[in-house]
Amino acid sequence: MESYIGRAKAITKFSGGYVRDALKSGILMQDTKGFNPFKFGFIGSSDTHNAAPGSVEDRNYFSKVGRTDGKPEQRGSIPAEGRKAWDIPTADPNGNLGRFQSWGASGIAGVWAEENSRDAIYSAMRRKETFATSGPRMRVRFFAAYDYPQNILKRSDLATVAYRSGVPMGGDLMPSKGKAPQFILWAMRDPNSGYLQRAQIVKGWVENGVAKEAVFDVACSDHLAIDPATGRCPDNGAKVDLSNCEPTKFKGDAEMKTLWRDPTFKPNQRAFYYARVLENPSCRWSTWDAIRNGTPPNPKLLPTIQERVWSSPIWYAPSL
Amino acid sequence: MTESLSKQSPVRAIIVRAGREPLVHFLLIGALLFVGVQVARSLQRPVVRIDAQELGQLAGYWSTQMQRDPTNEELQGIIHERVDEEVLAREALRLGLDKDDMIVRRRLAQKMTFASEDTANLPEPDEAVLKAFFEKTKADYQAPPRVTFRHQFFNSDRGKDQALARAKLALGKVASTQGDALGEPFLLPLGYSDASLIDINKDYGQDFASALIRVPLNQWSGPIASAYGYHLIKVDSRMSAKTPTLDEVRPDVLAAYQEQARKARNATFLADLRKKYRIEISGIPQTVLNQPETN
Repeated sequence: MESYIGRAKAITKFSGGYVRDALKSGILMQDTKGFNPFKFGFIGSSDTHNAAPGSVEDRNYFSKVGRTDGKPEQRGSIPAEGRKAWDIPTADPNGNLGRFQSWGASGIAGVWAEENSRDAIYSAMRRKETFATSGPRMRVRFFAAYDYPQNILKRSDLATVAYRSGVPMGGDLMPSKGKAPQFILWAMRDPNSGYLQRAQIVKGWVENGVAKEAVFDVACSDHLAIDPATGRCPDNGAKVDLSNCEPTKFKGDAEMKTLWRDPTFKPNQRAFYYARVLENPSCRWSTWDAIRNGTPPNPKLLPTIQERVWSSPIWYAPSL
Repeated sequence: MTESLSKQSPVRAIIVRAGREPLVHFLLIGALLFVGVQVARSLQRPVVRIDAQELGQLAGYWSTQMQRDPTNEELQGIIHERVDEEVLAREALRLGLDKDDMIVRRRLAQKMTFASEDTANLPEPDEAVLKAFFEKTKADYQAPPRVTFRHQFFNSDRGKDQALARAKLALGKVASTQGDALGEPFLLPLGYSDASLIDINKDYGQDFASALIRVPLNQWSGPIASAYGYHLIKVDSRMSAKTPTLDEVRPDVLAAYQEQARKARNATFLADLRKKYRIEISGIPQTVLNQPETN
């Protein structure tokens, strides 16, 4: 994305644009000042103001604030005044319309609780065992340890073993005795949304007083292997038909599951890791609006998005 | 005396005469009183009074929020703020700042709405009325089918046929192993107790959910396709969809009935209120105004 979310203003300075910037500042402050004010878990939410519990589905998006963007024309997804084309620029890109048209649909908060009770859910939030999605109800599990059994991914008691010999999302790894940590990343699709395309682990660490970051592809869909030269999954070729939002058939996975050991780990570097799993591309709400209206999608907006899920981080400290 | 009188100028004579007139006395005394009252009034300032009850309430709000009683200093702060608020509000009213203000208007309308709702006591419907209402809205209270089951999962991301073959193979072995651990690890629970079929449908899809209703009880069946792959399922018990009797959901039905009655009353109240006013809106054609309002 070349412009700020909510604005058409071009991004020239990327600092502060991602949640991992805050996590990086946190571990850096822990190293230099002895405290970390940014040790938080992730949830996704709505921030809608329309008396409805979230407008999470892109195909069924119905506004953020009601009166101001309750109609497709008001949120910039169809041309104004019943026109059939986008030949006349309709809005000041920095004005209200500019902001409403660039917002995503709402997120969802996920919690790993033992049971559906207030106590269990609040305890899970306190230990940060939560995850965020950009809207769909996909699930992600994320664990870390130094020695998981080789066959853990195939064991039917996977989760039990993962908890017993490691820490879940939101937790802290014990200091390393020389070994690099291993991560279990396990995600499952939302049956009412798309298939999963790739799984990634985002790492932030402190090196010589500077906070750094890297994104690793750790699992690819469709039998694909990570390209050793780029470290990336090859494109799985999933596309969306923009005339009806139908996805390419038979692309992507229902489930992604992998065991990954950090190849760049240094025992003396403070770090955090979180999982990010991407769906195949799907239509953005503005494209759904346009199709229903029989007009082309707004050329200033992205026609598709990749829905995703983020786990809460796991932190590594060189000493307790 | 007559000599002295004749020496006086005519103006003075008039004044002297006027001085003897009771009407003039009356006017003079009246004027003095008027001026006196005005001066007294200007010296007397309007009173801002916070009584003990209100003070108790303010301290109570504070305690609720802070989870402890305010100290004397904090109490002084509370009083200070309340007085500031009062004098600012009175001054604003004196200057007419409440006029043409959207927020003040909304707040007043809201208070009026609350007030009109409070005064209208909702009726306790008699049995026949409540029963008729329940019959009409029965569908709202229907409980979904519930099912207790276990399942085993076979991932089909790396080939549907292979997954299906693995599932069939497992089904053959399942009787001898009691079905333990023949399937693959699964992110969602492998067992559900008394789960709503609506929830299962959301997580597994329609095919899987309807299979749970169809398959024989207490034995492993399948393979059944879901949004994730193939499953073997064993249903231990199930309860079909159930419409409760009025007695089972009486409080909910009563609440729904009263809510409906409240809405009807509010609508009537507003309609009656509108009749008391002649509503004029400029700049909009009458045809638009006459359209029924949509909500």
